[in-house]
Amino acid sequence: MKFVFSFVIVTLLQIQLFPAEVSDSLAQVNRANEIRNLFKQKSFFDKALSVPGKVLFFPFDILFSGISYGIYKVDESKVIPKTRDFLISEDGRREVRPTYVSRIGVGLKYYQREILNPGSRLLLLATVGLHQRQRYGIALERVSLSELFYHSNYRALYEKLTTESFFGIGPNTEKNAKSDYTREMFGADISLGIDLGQRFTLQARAGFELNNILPGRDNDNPSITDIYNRSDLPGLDTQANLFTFSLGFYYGSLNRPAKPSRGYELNAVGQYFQQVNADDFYFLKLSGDFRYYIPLFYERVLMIRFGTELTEPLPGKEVPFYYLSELGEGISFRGFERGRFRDFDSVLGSLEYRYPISNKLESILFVDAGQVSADIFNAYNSSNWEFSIGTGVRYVTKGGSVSKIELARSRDGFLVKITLN
Amino acid sequence: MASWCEGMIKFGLSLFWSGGLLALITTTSCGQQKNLLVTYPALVDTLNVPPPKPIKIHAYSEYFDKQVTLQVEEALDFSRQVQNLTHSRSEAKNVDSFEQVANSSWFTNRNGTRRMSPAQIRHGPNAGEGPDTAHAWTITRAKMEGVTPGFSIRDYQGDNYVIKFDPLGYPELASGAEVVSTKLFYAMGYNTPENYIVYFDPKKLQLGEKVSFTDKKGRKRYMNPQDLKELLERIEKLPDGRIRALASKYLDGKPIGPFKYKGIRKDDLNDFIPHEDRRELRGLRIFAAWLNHFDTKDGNSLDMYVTENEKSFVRHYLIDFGATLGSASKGPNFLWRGYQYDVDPGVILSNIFTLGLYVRPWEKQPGVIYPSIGIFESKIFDPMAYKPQVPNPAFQSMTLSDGFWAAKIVMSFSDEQLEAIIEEGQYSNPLVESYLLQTLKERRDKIGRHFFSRLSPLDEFGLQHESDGLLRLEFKDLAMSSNLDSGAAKYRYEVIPLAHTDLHFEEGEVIGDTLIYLQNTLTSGFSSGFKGGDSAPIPKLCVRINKWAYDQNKWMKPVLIFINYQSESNKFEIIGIRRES
Repeated sequence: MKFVFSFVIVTLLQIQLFPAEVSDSLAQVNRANEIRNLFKQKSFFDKALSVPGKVLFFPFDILFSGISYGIYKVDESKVIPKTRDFLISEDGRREVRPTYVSRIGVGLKYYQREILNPGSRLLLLATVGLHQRQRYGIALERVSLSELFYHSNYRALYEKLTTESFFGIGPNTEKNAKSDYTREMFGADISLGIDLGQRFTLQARAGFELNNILPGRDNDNPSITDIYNRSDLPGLDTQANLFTFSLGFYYGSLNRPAKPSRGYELNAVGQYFQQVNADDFYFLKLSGDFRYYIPLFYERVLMIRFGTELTEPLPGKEVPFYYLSELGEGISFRGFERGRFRDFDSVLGSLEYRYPISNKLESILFVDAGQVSADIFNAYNSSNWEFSIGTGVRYVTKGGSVSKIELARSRDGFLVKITLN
Repeated sequence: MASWCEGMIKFGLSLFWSGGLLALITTTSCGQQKNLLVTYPALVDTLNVPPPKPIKIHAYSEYFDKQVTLQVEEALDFSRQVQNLTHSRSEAKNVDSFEQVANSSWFTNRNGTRRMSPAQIRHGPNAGEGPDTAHAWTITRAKMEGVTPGFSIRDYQGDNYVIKFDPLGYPELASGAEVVSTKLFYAMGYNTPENYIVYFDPKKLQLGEKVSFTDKKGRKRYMNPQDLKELLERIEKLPDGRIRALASKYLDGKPIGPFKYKGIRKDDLNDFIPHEDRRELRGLRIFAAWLNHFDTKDGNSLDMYVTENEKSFVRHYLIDFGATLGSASKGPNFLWRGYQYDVDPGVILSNIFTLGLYVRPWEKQPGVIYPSIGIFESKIFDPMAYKPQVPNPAFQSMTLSDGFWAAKIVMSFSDEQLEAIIEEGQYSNPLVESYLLQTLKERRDKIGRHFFSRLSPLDEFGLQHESDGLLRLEFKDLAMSSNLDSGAAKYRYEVIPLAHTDLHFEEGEVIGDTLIYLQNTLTSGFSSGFKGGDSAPIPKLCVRINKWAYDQNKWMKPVLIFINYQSESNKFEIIGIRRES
């Protein structure tokens, strides 16, 4: 039957659709359509099977066509390079760059490079977010004091963080004890750095800061000021004007900064704080962060991290609660909210296995463990360890910036964190 | 029911039609009437037609369409999914009864049907000697965007060329790859531009009047001498100050934008067959795999509206071969290119769930051995594992028969031809030439081995009437002739009358020979049984030949040779073949 059908079609085509020369355009169109229909023929079985898929695809088709058209228009209009051109000066020295900081919100950064010497830059920053969170800053960075290896930084910063979380002090705090507060801070500092080669940097910093704790603005939680008073929580209802001095060094041997597969890095800082508008707060902080990258095989990497922060008040003095050592997402204890655990000392250990899943994507599996303690050496309690496990995906751009999404499970439940570098 | 379904899916009619109508062939599977095979008419597509409207394809929107839209559409096409699951994808629609592709505005049979001479293969598509480097070049257009700059020039002869450069630190990489691949794609049968390697003195460059270009900041403006200076600073110079570059001659005719690998260009009245159903575009997957041409996007094709012999029609070109062999144009190829799409959900998911414990073969590649080659190897190469940068609908439609067709062409390239083509790449290091030759040979042989072991490698059938009344059926074993198989090959044949079932079947085996003698009694029985006068050539006889596969220890699937009897001339003639898969 099919043979007969095909034979008839072909014979018709032979007779009617293939004159030696087709000159009439309408005839050409008809001929083309007739032949195209022949090539489009599908069996009833194929047609019937295709129908549900076509119906399902219809909304996607509209959506994707819209996106594709949008991409086309953006590309056609050259809006991206034109915007970049608008934001970057002709000589590339001045630049305005949009920025996003998860703790604050969105804003703009303005750079003026090589302002005093090659490598130096002026930075202006303004970011705002929900609940009137805001940060403004000005910095003069990498100003050379010597042609060899000294450089200095000068910074001033004002920030108002209106929904900072507080769960209490000590290792056994609970998730449902959450309250919040506003921390208003103005600080200025000067730092002096010495680059001893590409791997080793020393830095000394001296500064001054004013801290105020105000009621929190998150309506879902009680404000810290409604629950605690100054005697419970040093630093509350007190403006703390602090002089700070710190000394730190960084040593790194990473084979590549954004996606290291080999080497290690160590960051250690010692800080001294002294209240200048009263005599309550005198304390030292010592923090260290060590990361070791072990190449396993073919870009599979194991990262081992150990971090600690020790806070020690001078005899008879106190530490403002917001300067206690913290564990939580911001400090990279994944699976717990920022500021979830707070005490004088904290330790954190992390194992992270990274493996490539695509050309620019890598997946991670991790285990984090940490604890806070009033005195990690003398009051260490092994039952205070908190754990989380999780997975995630990292995207590393050509420029080296890293964006990632992580899903962690802890005793507080699941927590997803998105980081845009 | 099953046979009915199979019949439905494989239903068909063989037609051979060229320049209107040449022949009509009805073929049925030997001994089984269920498989009625249809091939569509090969149409003349160079008739005089009005000019189609030029189109533009934007790289990013094409990327989205191929990477997302096409994948979702295919996933929801249940008919296609069933075909994939049952290995019954529809065959290409521009194949004749000998499983070949007729010459068209897309493709011209060249080395695959008749081996080109060394001079022809070296010459490739070139009609001249390239741009005149003795006199000044006038820059007419320029491109500052991207990592590799480029411009267009008009030479002293008035010819226009696009000039492209090798990436810094990788001399000869892109230009060598482009010329070698151009010659190969041309010899395969595709339309390609004339691409030349040139050495020129940058001092002979003149900036034309009002050379408009889009600078790296996206602004359209006229080029100035400072721009030219900056552009030349980003280009590698030879010790004598000259620059090696690739000069691609402007194609004849009016450019009307790229062709798409799916659908048709509706306003081209010569464009009838959905492009994903064209064998030369499906089979391009195998050629692309051979040469690691991962950038087979629509944008790397070009349709030209040409006028030849007082007829105007669209000719379809493949262009831009700078990202082939081991080159990615802007530098050496990435290890993963050619093995997975840029965004490959299947690979990503399987990598996630295997926790990275499975190391993919491409990850074990050694990396760049020669800067002029980039990343190009043959040890882990698997022709069927090849994937372009973004999914290609024609490649996704490829069947085993399409692949076999392409493999035959790939295998048609001799070592000497490859050597001649590589010499055209003008590599300064002889070790580079020998590495490239060895790699191409090994990849070629892997392609041949893959397809010649899955479909019968018997081809080039000829029928001779012997003086004693015997019919001599000659054929070529492609696996043997290309040294992929050695030793004494064994074949089994059956001769089956299709119409006169009262005639007896003839069977036999041949060892170490590619000749079959059909018995006199059978043929004489046939000639007396037919009166002739049929308007269309209907096969009267089918010869079914299997090859013994020593490595698989079984008979391979057969090739069927359909033979017609012409009563007027009292002659038998082969009117079609079909390889069973």
